[in-house]
Amino acid sequence: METLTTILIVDDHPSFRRCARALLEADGFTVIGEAEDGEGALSAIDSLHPEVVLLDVQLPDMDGFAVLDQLGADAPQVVLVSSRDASDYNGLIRSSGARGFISKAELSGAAVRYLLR
Amino acid sequence: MTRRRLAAAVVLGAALYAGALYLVFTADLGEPRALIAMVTVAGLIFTVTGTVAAVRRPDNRTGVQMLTVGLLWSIGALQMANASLPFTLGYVFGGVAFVAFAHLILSYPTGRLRHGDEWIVWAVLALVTVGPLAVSLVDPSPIPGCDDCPESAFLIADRPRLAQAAGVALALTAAALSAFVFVRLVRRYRAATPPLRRVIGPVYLFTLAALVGLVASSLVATVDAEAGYVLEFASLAFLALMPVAFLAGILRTRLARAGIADLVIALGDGSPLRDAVADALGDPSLDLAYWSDQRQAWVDEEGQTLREPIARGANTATFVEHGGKRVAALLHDRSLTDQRELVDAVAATASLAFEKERLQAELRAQYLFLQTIINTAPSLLSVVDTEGRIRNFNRAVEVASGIDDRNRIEGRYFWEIFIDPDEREEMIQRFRDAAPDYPPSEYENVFTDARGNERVIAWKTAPLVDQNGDVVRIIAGGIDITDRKRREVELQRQWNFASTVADTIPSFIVVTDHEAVVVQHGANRAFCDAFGRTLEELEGSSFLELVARDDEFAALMAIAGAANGVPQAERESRWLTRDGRERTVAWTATPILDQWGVPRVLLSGADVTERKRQEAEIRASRSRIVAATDAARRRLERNLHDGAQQRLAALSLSLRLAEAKLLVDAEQAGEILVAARTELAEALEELRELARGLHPNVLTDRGLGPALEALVLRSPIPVEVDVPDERFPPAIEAAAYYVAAEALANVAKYADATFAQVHVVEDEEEAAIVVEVVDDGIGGADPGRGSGLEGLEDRVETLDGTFTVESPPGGGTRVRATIPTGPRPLPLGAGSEDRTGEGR
Repeated sequence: METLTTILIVDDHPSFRRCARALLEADGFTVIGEAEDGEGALSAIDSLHPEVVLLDVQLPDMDGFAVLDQLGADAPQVVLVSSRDASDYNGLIRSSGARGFISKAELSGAAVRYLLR
Repeated sequence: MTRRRLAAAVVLGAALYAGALYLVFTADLGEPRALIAMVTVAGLIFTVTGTVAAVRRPDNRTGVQMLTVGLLWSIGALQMANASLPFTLGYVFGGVAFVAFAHLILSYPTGRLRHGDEWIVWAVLALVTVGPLAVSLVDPSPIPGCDDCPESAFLIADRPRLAQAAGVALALTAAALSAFVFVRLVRRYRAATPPLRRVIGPVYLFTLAALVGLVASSLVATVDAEAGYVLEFASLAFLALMPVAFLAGILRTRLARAGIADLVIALGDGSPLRDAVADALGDPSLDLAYWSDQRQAWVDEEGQTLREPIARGANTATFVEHGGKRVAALLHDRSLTDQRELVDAVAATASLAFEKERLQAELRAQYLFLQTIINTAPSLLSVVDTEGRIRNFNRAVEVASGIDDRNRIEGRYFWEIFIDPDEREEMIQRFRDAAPDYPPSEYENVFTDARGNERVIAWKTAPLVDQNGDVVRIIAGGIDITDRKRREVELQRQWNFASTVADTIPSFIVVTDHEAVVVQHGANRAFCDAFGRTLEELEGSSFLELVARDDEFAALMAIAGAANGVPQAERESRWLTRDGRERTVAWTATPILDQWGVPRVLLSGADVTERKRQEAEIRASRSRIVAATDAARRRLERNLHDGAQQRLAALSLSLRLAEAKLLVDAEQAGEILVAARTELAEALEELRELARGLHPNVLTDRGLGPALEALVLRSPIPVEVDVPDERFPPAIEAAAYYVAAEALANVAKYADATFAQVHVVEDEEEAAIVVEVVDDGIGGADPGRGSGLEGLEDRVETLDGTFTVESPPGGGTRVRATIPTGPRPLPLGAGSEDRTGEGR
């Protein structure tokens, strides 16, 4: 599998975006952009064409599942993150089209790569 | 006895006594001639009187029996014959007459021998035949002292001692038999009724005298012939008088007829009828009975009904007719049946008097009947004279007056008996005003009777006038209506009680007929007041017109069901007030009977409109509380998620990054850890803020004052706090705190204020605390627009408090909550519902 390196971080909390960027870059990812809400995410995907999107489920304007619904056929790989547990979303993650879900506290480059493998 | 036989007997008797007298006066009898003549005359008298009796009373055998005695008596005359055989026959059979005599005396006056007397007759027969025969066989001169008499023709042997013994035996037996007859006659006389005694008395007297004389003479003659002679003469004299007595008894009717004339005179004199008739019949035991057509029964002179049979004991009844109709009965001595002609003559003579007496008896009977009715009637009947004195009255008057002694009522003024002292003057005046016509009147009066009981009498009076038209008496009829009045009062009292209850209870009461039409007095005051209707307009109108259209059918069904006797379960309907407003009423329909027993339907209900509104408000309030609670939870969850949770997640990433950098770039790792520490401090502060928002710890630990002081420290504008130091129940402190907190939050968010005040005051009179938050902001706050004030209102009302917001535009805002602190009685129907909020 081709190694994917460009990533877009979508989260409404700046502290998380800052930490995630440092962590992922340390693990070899290239963070090409950040967005703080759904609309911003869709716009950044459209303009930056990231290979991977790290998408927070709870956003101020729409949730991560709604963002996924609006992505086109050439959409990037999406990994959902949340400070909640995966069980809080039950079957939604499986049917959403995302590659997988990572709890925010568990985030690491290895975990993202594992889901993208 | 036929007339021919009687004639033959008379002829025979005439011949016999002609012969006998011839013998007496031709024979050489010496001194005994007078005696023998007396004997013969006695027999002759029997014969003559017997003949007369037989002719005059052919129905009675006594005459024939007397005639028989007389004829047989003549046999004794043969003793005067000078030839031996006739003399002996005369001696032996001369006593046969005594057999007939015994029969005569024992059967007198009916002529019929009583059962049990036959043997006496037979015994006499044996005595008078066997005795002389025995003497004649042994005594050549059987007649003591008769030296000239021929010798016995039947002499067998001259045995003077034996003859004397036979004579004594004959005399003793005769004496015994005579004694027996004597006792029997005495008993019979003593048992006889007076009329009978008058008949048998003389006969028995003469008989007994003759018997005693004869027996005595025969006894004495054995000792002293001279004395015997005298005695025998005397007894013969009695014997000779005896037929006269017999004849008098037999023919007494004829004799008594003389009394008829006396009866006529007595009736003319106006003597009592019974006494006159009793005298005429010679029967002091006489009673009279009169036939009452009205009662179809026999009554006495007083009009009292007699029991059948009317004749008892020794009496028998002879019925008297007048004009072909039975009018009376003579209850006379049974012995008078022997004098039918006399009784009939008396009855015929007095029949008119009997009829008159009968009518009087009938009147008396009617009077008694009326008297009985009057005295047994429950109505009071009183006759009062024109002076007002009670002249006559019935038993009911005695009962009502409470005076048992008639004499204490009669002659008294009626007002002394029936009018209480304080009303007497008025009654006397009223009575005098009614004179002289005393027109019919009616009135009711209450008085206290002699026993102290209060009585009520309803009187009706009417005048009684004489032939001149003058009022002589006033008749007053009354009914004792004490009990009725008492029941009326009792009923009225019950009715008043029920009416008062019905008119004072807050429940609605409507009474309808089976077609839902409101009956007279069929609605209580609560109903009329609540629905703006008058009783007059309700009576006769349909109750269904007062029910909202949608509920009309159900109401009709309920009333119809109750009218059929089925009590209806409570239901709720909307009833209409006069101005068309709807009131929700919880009501039942119950079958009842009104005071006349007519089936009715009782509709009883309570206005639950306010309760329903309150229930709806409570439901809405609860929903708001639940919604507010849910919103608070969501907010908390969001706050946790957005705040501390994010910071902790970032912290986790920072620590992992620092860990990775620690060996390759220690300096960067240190920077990361410093940032992480800052992040952690912020996360902690956020958690503290959250916890404070959930429930301020200081409120629980130190009370409302310190909590509010801590609260205003975080306010962006200056806030003045004035709070009492004392503690209140936790729920009340919490409510007061949140009122202040929410109001201050609103001040900070919306009021654009520069200053605010928080005042908490305890109102001891109202047992409540008042929380007031005032600001100088722009005003215009509206609790209905989700500013959180509505939630506060719910919280305060949950504690039965009141919550008001005054917020005129540009005039600042005043939020005021009054929260009760004292114990609150649970409202009816609240059940065990926890409304303090403490249990949540």
